[in-house]
Parts: sequence; structure tokens; C-alpha cells
Amino acid sequence: MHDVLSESCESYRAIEAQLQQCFESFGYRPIDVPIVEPTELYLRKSGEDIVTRMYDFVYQNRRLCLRPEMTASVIRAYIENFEQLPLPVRLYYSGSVFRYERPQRSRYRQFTQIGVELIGSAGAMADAEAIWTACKSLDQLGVEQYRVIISHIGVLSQFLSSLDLGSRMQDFLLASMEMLRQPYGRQTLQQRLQDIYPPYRPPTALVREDIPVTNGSDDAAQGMEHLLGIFQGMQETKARTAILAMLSSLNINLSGNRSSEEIADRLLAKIKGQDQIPRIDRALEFMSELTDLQGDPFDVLAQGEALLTKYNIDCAPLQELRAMVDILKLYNLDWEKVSLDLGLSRGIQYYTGTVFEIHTNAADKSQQLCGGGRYDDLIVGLGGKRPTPATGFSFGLERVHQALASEGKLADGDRTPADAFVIPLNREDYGYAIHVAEALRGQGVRVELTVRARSTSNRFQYAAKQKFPFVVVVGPEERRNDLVTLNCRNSKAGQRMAIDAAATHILQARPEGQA
Amino acid sequence: MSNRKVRLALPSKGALGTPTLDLLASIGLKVYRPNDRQYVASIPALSQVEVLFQRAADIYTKVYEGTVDLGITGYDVVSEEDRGGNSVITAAEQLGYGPCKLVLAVPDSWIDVTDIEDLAELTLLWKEQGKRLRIATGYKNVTKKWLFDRRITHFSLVDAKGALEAAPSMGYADMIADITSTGTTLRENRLKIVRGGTMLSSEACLIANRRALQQPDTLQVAELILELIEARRNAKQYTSITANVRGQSLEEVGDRLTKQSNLTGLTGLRGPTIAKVYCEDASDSAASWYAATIVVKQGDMLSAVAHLRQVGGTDITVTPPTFIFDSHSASSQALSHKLAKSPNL
Repeated sequence: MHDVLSESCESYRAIEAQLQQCFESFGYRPIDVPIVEPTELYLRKSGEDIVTRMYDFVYQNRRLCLRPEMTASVIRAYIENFEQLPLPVRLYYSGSVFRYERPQRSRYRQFTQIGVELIGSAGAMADAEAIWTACKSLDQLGVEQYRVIISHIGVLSQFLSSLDLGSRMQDFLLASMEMLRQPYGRQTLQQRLQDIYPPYRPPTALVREDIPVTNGSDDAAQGMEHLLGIFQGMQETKARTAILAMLSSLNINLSGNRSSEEIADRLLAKIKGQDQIPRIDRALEFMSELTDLQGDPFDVLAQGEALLTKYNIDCAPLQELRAMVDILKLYNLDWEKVSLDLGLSRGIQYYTGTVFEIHTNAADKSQQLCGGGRYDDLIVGLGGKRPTPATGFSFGLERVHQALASEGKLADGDRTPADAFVIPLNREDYGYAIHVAEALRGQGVRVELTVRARSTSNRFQYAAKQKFPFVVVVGPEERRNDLVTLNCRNSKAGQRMAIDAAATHILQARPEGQA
Repeated sequence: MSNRKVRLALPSKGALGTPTLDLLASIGLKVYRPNDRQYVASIPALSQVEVLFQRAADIYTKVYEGTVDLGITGYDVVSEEDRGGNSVITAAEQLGYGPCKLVLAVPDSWIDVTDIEDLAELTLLWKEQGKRLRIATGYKNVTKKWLFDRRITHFSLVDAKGALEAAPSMGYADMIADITSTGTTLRENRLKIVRGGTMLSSEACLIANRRALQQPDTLQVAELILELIEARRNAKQYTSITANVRGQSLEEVGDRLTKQSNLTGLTGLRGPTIAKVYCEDASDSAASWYAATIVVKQGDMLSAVAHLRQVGGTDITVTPPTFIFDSHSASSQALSHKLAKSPNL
């Protein structure tokens, strides 16, 4: 975690304000949620990628964590407070989130998410509007070099669930899409597959030797393997009876959390699920074909439909996507920046439909600025009373800031802390100096009043070092006549004038863009 | 500073207590503890050292804080207590005793769970049902990190309350993650080790406070302990054999011993050492007696004896070497390498 020093802090605030303004122009209202939440909130629906990186701790016997993302908290707040409101409910947020990272460049353990949740609306209109809102925000900030990548989570997840792989395998494959894009991605993926499913052998492997059942020594496990073989040859109901009979004859204590039925059912599922290799290979094949599908939205839609037909999968997700893209086209969006990429799967598990990411390609390295998508099951998953479709996205503030910086779009860094510095000449003038400073502030001038006990010449030196554009001097003469002496940084002689006139003068001299 | 003694923390009891004292005694660093209830002791052979007895689990903390300079504790404790940063340096990960493993164990009745992937599936099945796998352990950090690395996240860790192995049958946890050396206690409590679920293999290890090692005194003690342990372990693999051999000359005996050898490794670490034996009865002048000494691997002792007999050896004595020192100590070199690699912050 790091300090955000004044200069960056100022531009962060400015970006934040602009984003909020844009969100408000779409009818979103702000919400703020606690930084510390019960860990349980994120365990229910977030993916491994987030759960393994949470700052998770026990305080007074309660398991708490620093929020690793905002959506779960916002949805919790929605469920607790807004469920009776007419839909849709539009909420925006801005706040710090915390994820453990190994120390590395441009990866921070605390960063800021700014985003929206559009709750209570299914379908293409909402998805398209969300994407447009994000793009318009960037346009208004002045970010030019960005690409919008859109996908639909249903394409892959439907295919995987049709293969009837174990949930562990399914999660693993979903999370591994990105890996396939890396050089040697498929090989790496196949290696990691062996970690979670040791019998796996890639189809091209030359040695397809008999899979070692044990690593030696483990007699009990070997015995179990043998039993599995026997049950495998039996009819399912018979096998179930046999397993239950065996369990009860073993005379082992089953008083714990698991009934013998649950154990028998999982054992049967395990027997049925054996030899997943052909199905895994089929999944890998499909996934690598999917990662190739990226580019112009309408081209990709056509290719995608062909692919799904080839694999005999329902085209519904692609139809949803087509409807969404059709509407998105109605917005004033630079179509050059939009592409479909059916390999995009995003790490968070609660997405159910359209997902999208916005990347910057300024400064030759692609970086993600924004991510979001549809999450129709989350509200019920977190305890909502009725199924409520929703979509949303969030920006990484630091990333947006970086993008603006690398495009040279950040406001001038050497803004002075104040427009004017007020120096009283004598002790007796303090009261009048305070009056002058307040009067100028009232006119919108940023004023610093001297607070250190220093000589007048010292104070002038300080003003010069700070590069204040103006120094306002007040002495007995000025006090008596309700005037000030305004010294401009670039000219020696001061000019005596009324306070209001000084304010106008100072504000007029302010450079463009410094509000 | 130089007047201060080097403080070495040793485990006061538990699995590493007595073995640590035995090890130190075996390398000539016997600990003198006036009585069992005293927590401060000394090593007469190393007057600059003050020994403090601590609980194995506290030793890491003491070294981390710098209230002791060196400590011997289990690697399991070091892994669990690890706070990142680099103020504790593991001078030697394996001192060669106190082996144990940190394993995941489930009730015997879970016949559907044999390996770690079964457990992963079970956590997902339970996630759907809104249940969470409860694991009782005294090694929360290692267990959490190990499972997270395998993308297993749907579990909760339960504080160990006394007899950990009983937790599943008592019902406050579903399974356990615990240290075992033989597995007997687990079996007696009707638990089985999950295959592929060994999270850590541990032995006694020597840790040091990095800043303390900047003091020559402390570094010297650490190096001395490491070197003696290393030399002692080396020695244990070998045995020294001396035989009297009758022969014409040193060269002739040497030739017989080395040239005929069809058994490599039976002629000593570098070759036999041969010395003349001065016999009282020197009447037989044609040939004299020579003493040949070779150092061979423990397992080769009998073959080496046979070889010596074959070339005319007799009066064969076998003695274990106490220490074998190399030209340099690998473990203290490794330590200075570690010290140099990441300088003090």
C-alpha cells in the first residue's frame, strides 16, 4: 500500500469528480459502503482469484476482511435497504479496495474502484447502456487510446456444463481461458491440469503409460482404488446399496457432518466421473477455438454461431450478444474501438451474461482500465428475496490516471497551492489581514495567510519560493482605507486597490483550466 | 556490545527438546543446565554463548524480535510463524533430526476421499449446499496458503483445542491439518492421511536474527554449530578401518591395496594411508609390517574388510570417525551466501 501525494491526489480527485458527474448524468445516485465487511460476504460468490487475496482476519471472534471489491457490498446494501424500490435502481460508488499482491511494479495492494451497478434490468438495453456509460466516461476524461472488448460468459460455461465435468474442473477451465492466449499457453495449461487431475495426459504425449495409481506405500488408498473398480462394474442402484452396506458394516463413526448417503453419492459420482480425459481434451479444443474468435463484432458473431453449431451447443448467448451489439451500435460510439472476444472470461465467478473490459493501449503495454458485466444470480446468492437481474462495471482509478498521464492529458502538475499569499506588515494588521483573506476566499480566490512568526522579508522570500502568483500586503495605510496592495509575482511594484478589485485581478490572471 | 553473550534459544520440551540436547552433546557442545526448572543454561565449551530454553513455537518470535540471536526449532514452526520481511534467516533448514510432516487427514469413514482433488471437489459440493469444510489445525497460516495455492478456498480453519486428532469425532471440525511423524496417532483416531495432502516436510533447523549475524561473535557461533553438525553428519556415513599388512615396502603394500582393487570406494576417501609398524620382534627381516588405514562408507565396511584380508591384512580394527571436515564447510558457506544475497533493511 502506498501514499498518494498531493499532486496525484489532486488529479485523482479531479478524475473521480468527472466520472461521478458522468454517472449522475445517467441517473445514478451515490452510495458508500463500509471498508470492513464480514468475510462471508465474499466467500459466497467471489472467485478464487479474489478470495485467495483477501485481507481476512478474526477480530473479537468475528471473521472480517477489508473489501476486495465493491459489487458484493453494494448489492448487500441494496438487499438490506432498497429491495422495495421500483426497478431499476442505479447506484454508483467510489472507494478503496484491498487485495494482497506480491510486491511488483504498478500493482498496488490498495487501489480505488469507481463504478456503477444497474440493478433490476435484464437484457440488451441495460448491457449496452452500461458499456456506453463506461466509454462516455473515458471520452469525457479525454482518454483516447482505448479498446472495448465484449464477450458473453454463457458461451463457454454452457459448453463446459454440457460436458458434465466436475465442478472443480469446470472452475479451473473457466479460470484458465486467459492462459491459453499466452505463448505456449496450451502446454502450460495441460501441465497445470495434471496438478489438479493427475491422470491427465495430453493427447500428443508419446508415453501414455499406465497411470500410476499410488506413489507407493499407500496401501489403504490402493485398496480403495481396487474397490472403485469393482463398484464401477455394477449397476448404479446396486452399487449404491453395496456402498451403504459396506459403510455400515465398517462400523465407523458417522456422527460428523457427513451422512453415509452423502458419502455414497459422492463416491458414485466419482466413479462415474472417472476418465474425464476425452472430455477435457474436447474442452481444451473448444476453448482454443474460442480464443481465436476475436475482432469485429459482427464477424465474430457469425464465426461464433458456426462454432457453436459445429459443437452442437445452444446459440442463445450469441443471440443475446447480437441483440446487445445492435443496440450499442445506436450509441455514438467509435466502432473502431469495439471488438468481440469470445475468449474473455473475467476472473470473478458471479458473471452470468455479457461481460466486457476496457483496455488502454497507450504506452505500448496494454492495461485494463475497466471491467464489468452481467450478474443475474448474485442478488439471490447474497440473500435477496427475489431474482433480480443486474449489470455493472468499475474503473480502476489509478489505471485511468496512468492512462491519462501516458497520453499527456493530465492537468499541469505545477499548480501552486494558492493564488495569493497575504502578508500583514505589523501585529496590529492581523485582524485586517484575516478580513482580507476571508473576503478574497469569498470571491473564490485560494488564499494562504501567513501563519509563521517571521520578518516581512522572510515572508516575501517564502512567497517567491512557493511561486504564488500574487502577494497581498496589508499595513496600517491599507487598513485605514479598506484597501490592499497587490504585488504580482512578475513585477516589482505593488498596486494599491480595493479588495474586490484585487479578487477580480487575481481570478483573471489564473491560467485556463485551473478552477 | 562485544561483552554481551550470544543468546541461543533451544526448545525446552516436546519432540525437539531432548534430541536437540543430544545433538549438541554429540558435537562436543554439551549444555550445562543446573536444574530442569531453570530456563537459562550454558555451554561450557562455548563460553560466549548463553542458552535460553523456550517453547519451540516461541523461538521464532524471539529471534524475529531480536531478543535472542540464534535458535533451534522445527521448520514447521518457522513456516507457520513466518512474517515475511527478512529479519529472520534460516541458517540451516535441515539439521538432520526431528522429522515430521504436516498433513491433511480426514475421517476413515470418508471412503470417497482419497486424494487432495477429492477434498477440493467436496469443498465445492458443500459450497453449493451452504456448508463449509472445517479444518482444525495449529498451523493456520501454512494450511491456508497451501490450500489457496491449489485454488481450494471454501473452508474455514478452526483453532486447535487440545487433542487435535479428536476434533472430527468431537464434532467441532470435519477434518484436521496436523503434524505427524509415524501416523500412529492419526490411525488410532480413525483418521487417514489425504494423498497429495502433505503440506510440509519438516526437520529441526537453525534460525538467526539477521541483524545479530552482523556481529562477528554471533556469526562465528552460527558457523561453528553448522560446521560441527555438518562434519558430524558426514562422519556418520563413514567408518575408519585399520589393518596390519605384511609387505616388502610402503610402495609394494600400497600397490597391492590399490591396484588389485576391483571394488571402487574401498580404498578410502582419497586412497589408503600406509605407515610402517615397528615390531619388537624384528627377526623376520625379509618383510615388515605396515598399518593401512582407509575410510569407507558405512555400508561398504564388510567388503572393505574382505578386501583387506584378501591382500593379506590382519588385526583389522574398525573405528567410527567423530567428525569429517572438508576443506571448507558447505553449510557455513551457504549461510554467508544467504547473508550477502539480501542485505539488512
